[in-house]
Amino acid sequence: MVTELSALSNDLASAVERAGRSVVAVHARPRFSSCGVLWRPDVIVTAEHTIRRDEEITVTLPDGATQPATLAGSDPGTDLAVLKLSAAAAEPAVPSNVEVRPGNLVLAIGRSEDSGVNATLGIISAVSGSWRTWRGGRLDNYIRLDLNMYPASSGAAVIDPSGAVLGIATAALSRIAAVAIPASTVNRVLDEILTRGKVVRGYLGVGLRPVSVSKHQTSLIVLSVEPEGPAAKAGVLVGDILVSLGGAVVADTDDVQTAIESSGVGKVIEADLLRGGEPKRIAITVGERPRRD
Amino acid sequence: MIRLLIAAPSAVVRAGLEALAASNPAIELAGSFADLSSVEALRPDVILAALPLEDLAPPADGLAPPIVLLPGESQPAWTRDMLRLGVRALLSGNASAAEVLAAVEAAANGLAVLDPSTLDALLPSASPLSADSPVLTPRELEVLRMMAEGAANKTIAWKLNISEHTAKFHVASILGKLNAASRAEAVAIGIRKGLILI
Amino acid sequence: MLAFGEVAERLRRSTVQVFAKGHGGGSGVIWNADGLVITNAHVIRSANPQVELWDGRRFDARIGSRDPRRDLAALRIAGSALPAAAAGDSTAVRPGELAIAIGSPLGFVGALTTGVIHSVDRKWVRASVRLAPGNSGGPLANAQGQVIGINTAVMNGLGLAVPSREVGEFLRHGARPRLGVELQPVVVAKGRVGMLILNVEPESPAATASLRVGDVLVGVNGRPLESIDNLSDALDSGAGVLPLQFVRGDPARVRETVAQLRAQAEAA
Repeated sequence: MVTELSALSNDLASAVERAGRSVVAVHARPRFSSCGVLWRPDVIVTAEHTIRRDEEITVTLPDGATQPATLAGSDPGTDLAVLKLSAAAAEPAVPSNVEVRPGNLVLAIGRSEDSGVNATLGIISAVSGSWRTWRGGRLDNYIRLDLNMYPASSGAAVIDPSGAVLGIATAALSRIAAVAIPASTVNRVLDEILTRGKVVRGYLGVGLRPVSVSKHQTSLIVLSVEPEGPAAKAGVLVGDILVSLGGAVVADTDDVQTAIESSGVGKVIEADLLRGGEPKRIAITVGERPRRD
Repeated sequence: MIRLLIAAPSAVVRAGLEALAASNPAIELAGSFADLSSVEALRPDVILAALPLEDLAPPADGLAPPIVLLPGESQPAWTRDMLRLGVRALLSGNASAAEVLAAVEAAANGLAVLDPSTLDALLPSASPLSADSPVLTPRELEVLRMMAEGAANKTIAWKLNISEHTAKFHVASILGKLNAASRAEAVAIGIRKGLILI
Repeated sequence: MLAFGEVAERLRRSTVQVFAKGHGGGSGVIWNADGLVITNAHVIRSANPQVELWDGRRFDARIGSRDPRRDLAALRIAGSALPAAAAGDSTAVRPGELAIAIGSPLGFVGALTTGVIHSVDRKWVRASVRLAPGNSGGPLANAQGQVIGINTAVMNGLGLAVPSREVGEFLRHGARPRLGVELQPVVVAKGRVGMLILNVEPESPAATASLRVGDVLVGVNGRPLESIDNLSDALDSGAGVLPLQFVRGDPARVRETVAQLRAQAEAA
């Protein structure tokens, strides 16, 4: 006798099966494997924080075979890393076109070498717009998940009940919950990594701190200027007070980061300053953020 | 559903707290009394009490439901005895409705709630010598900047040619100096203090 | 010679609780029987502090004067024949001597803790007494019950107290001169270090000298300003005026101004 409950159960299992055809286990660190999603026939996307070596990375495919993979590049800011296989391995993930809303049921589909495909069930607990991660990257949406993540779960495919992929699960972007890196962000980062080998991030090379200019105005004062950096080259000095950037008033370092992101590497951004009490406008060419890893 | 018991000698205060409880659909009022005598019989999830400290006594069977305490005239400070009696939230006399409800929910979930003024008294007093800008060593600054890019301890150790143990030590020192509870918080603070360039 | 119990009791009676609205407050010491109470400047954060005596009597207090640099404040309460503490000579204190601290740590009123003096210098009397918030502003006394310091902070496990000699100086000559600025060390250019001004208090000597947020102090009295200590020493030198060198904008052009230092509001 098929009850509603067993129908639901079967649907979930089918969704897992469907999605599982594009989920791999990734072996790129000593103790635990992690998960990855075949985003294109020969390209795997996984969680950057689980890649702890550059070489001898292998993946376990849905058919059980283990293959070597090369690291094409990574973006710690969004916690994404891209692995390439020597040839098309399996069918890539089917993207979801469902609009995610808090309360929607989702599954995180992973794979481990021993037990094959695995699944955990939960819901979308919160959704909001563009979100800057603490590592300096930007997700198109903040999608918080209410589901269990295990040590080997990061990189798992987050799917809707039909088995289509909404994003990549990671435990590293928030202390309180698992976050799904949205598919749109994955696409954006993937393209940039495959063409450039990395994701470039805008940078001015200044250390800033909020100061009260008057009772009603908070601006940012320049504490340090990186020698030969974009701001230094444009003539920004320690003690300058930054009032607006790219036409937008800035009261907090968040505002500055947003303005830099809106502009882009190589573009010129106008900075309105107060120097010794006198207004001054300086044009800064946004540079590329130096990577330290 | 949080089963709440209200205990306050003043009828006016009781009425006010009852209205407060009624405003939150997640709260079910188990009863409203002048004292705590009905606690044992009713077994509420949380007690919202506007009672003097002396009137709090542990129940006979030793199981104390969490108490959200609204103090009377004097503002008592946290003591170990209060914790033993089950007090999990000590709100100030001018706590808002939202704060009281939040404290009830938190207590029901096993958390303790401290009013900021109490927290102030419990935290180590700021030495007048401590500068507003914490001083990180040049090495710590380097580590902080790597943390801002999500570098793990192992990566930091490898890049700076130090042991992973030393890297962990630097990270811990940075979190301490910046008064941060996590790497993410340390990075956010670092950017706002101009320690991390953007 | 008094028994320890009597010493402790007298000390306890001259210790008060200080309540500052919205904050934990701390302790204080009745310095004169006519109503002068000494506490830490950082304990007084609101304009209308209240003082509670050992016997429960409460008084509204008026802030007489504050010295943020020494971290002292003088309060006035409307009382007479109050149990005042006996002031001791902090310069006569020797390491190893018994030290007694009274206060209201964590809300326990009138708690007493003892230890020994660790070291004394012009700035601090350090003792191995266990202090907690609530002790701030309260007395550190010797074995005779004479107050030799005002408990202020904890560092490296030791209790730090402002020496009673400094309290005397504060009461006689007022607060230590201040410029009225918030400073941050920065590198100006080519490895030159200076102090960036992040805030200027209205009507302070810095404001009167036309210094602004964004200016970088690079010299005091013609000598390079490399640390806050250079500035503190110059401020405490007793000079009525202080020439300051700073840069504003162009780091190559060093400008001059003169700060008029004046004693803060006379001690009550």
